[in-house]
Amino acid sequence: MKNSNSKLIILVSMIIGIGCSSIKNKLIPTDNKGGYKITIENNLNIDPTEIHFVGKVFDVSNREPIANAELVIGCLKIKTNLNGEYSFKIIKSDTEITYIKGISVGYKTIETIFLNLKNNNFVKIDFYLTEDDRPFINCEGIN
Amino acid sequence: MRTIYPITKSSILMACLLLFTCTNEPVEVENELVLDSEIEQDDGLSSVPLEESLDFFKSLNTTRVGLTTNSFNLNIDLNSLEQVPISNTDAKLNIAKATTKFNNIETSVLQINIDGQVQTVLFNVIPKDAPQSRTERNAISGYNFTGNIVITNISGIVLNNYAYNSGNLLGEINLNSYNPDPVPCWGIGCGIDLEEVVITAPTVSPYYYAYTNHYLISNVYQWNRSLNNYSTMGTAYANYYRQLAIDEFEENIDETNLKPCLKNILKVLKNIQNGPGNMVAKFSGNFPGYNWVTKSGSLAGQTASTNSPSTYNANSGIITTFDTQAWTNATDLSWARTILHESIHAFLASYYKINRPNWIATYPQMVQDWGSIQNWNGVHHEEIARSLVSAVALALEDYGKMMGYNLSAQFYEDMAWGGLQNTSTFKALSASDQKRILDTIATELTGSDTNSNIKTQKGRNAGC
Repeated sequence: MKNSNSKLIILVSMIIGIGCSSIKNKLIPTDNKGGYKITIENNLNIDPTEIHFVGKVFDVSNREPIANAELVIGCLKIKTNLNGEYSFKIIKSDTEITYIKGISVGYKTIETIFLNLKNNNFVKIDFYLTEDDRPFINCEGIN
Repeated sequence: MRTIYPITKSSILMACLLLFTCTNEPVEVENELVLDSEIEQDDGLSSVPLEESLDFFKSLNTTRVGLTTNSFNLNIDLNSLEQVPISNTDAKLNIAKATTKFNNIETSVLQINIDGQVQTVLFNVIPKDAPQSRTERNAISGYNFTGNIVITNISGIVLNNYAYNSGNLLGEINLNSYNPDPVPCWGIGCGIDLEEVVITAPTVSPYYYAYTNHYLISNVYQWNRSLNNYSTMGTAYANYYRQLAIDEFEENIDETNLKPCLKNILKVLKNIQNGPGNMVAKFSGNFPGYNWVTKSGSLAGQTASTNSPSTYNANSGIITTFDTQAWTNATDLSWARTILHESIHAFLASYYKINRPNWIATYPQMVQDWGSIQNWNGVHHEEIARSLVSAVALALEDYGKMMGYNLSAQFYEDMAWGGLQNTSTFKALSASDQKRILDTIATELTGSDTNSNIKTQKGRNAGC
């Protein structure tokens, strides 16, 4: 009996110990420090056959708007104006889930999660892009 | 004040003619051909002796040309008078700094003999939004110059007026050549603010180019005879100072932490006609406006690596690391090519960081490439493969000749592809061309071709 109690104490201690371990087996974020803020809603003032997208693209480090950034949704490409703003609308289609990429030269691309547009027709996404800090490397095709 | 007594081609030609006139020997056909050739190269330009310029400028200072009509108050700094070489001719241009009643304008006096006549013009650099009083003469020492470059006669009557924005020539203000000086009286010569001058659609006649940043036509900087001598003098002036800026850029390349073997190669590259500064200037149409820091260090298999634009600032510059210890068999030609290649990365990265909007406007193809490639390395390499292989080859050939090599243009062209093997342009080459190029690059880098067969290198071991 005493022996089995000791084993139980050791087992519980191990479980607690593992539980308190600093090793966390979870997904590590990628190198991209950018991100986006999103609002999806159903707006009754919008034509029900359309979906409206608006938003702005910023530099994440200084919050300055990025002009001429490109938003890509499917085959559609839209550029931001000098204030980093964009807006466009698409016709509602059978494809009710989609995603948007925010791209700008010199910045790492941000890609949203899939957006469920089945019951929504207004999407506001502000992209915060981080500068591409990867160095230029000279490989000469030898290795 | 420098004194240079140029021996012009005209003088040589005259001496040759006299020599042949006095000889009793029949003139050989070969000699006649040489003479014909020289006659064709005679450009009608000759230097004005500095003493002559000095006397003339002194008299201008004394008489205050235009004082009664335009109150231009031209005052030439006689101590600054110098005679500078200009491209495509043996003749030299006399230049002196000057002041006028306009404190916010940088003025220089230019003088040269054209077709037997001494031509004197003022070259006025007027930065946009310049303070009313300027003490530094640095308006054109940055490739982001915005404002006007106005060429006037010594009374201040405007002969040519070029508008610039961020280093780009917008066009020439139409002065209406049917109304000769001094009516109508334009701009500073009349004391009228330039803002009041009506700017018409930019003139793009090749005769009136003062400057452009398009790499295909950047040779308009050269001294080309044109219908407009004043404009030409202005371009010669701009060209001279552009070359000074290029030389200064090369001189200021930080090589403090570079291994001696690469320092030696870089030293030669700085002294060739198509060195890093000139190569970049030809490509960009302007002179490099960045600080380049080169150093030796360890990399993960690469020969070199240049930091991204995000790391650039004016103080620290853009940093390139070369890994010589990983490639001990590499020849000097291999490293020279790599240095040239990285100098382009350094320029494009810095230029982007210094003036992103201008960079985007200048390189729309790279902007478009970013949409699909989405990384700097690939985008730059596509551009280099598209536009700069020949320039790198030319620069490398200059280096090779300077080092005493006698190698084919094909070899240098092949070497210039180093680092570009993943580009669409390279992949569009035939399989045999690709193989030859990769073997050439591999041999100069390692001593073996891509099949690991030991090959004789054309360059000498860099000794790194």
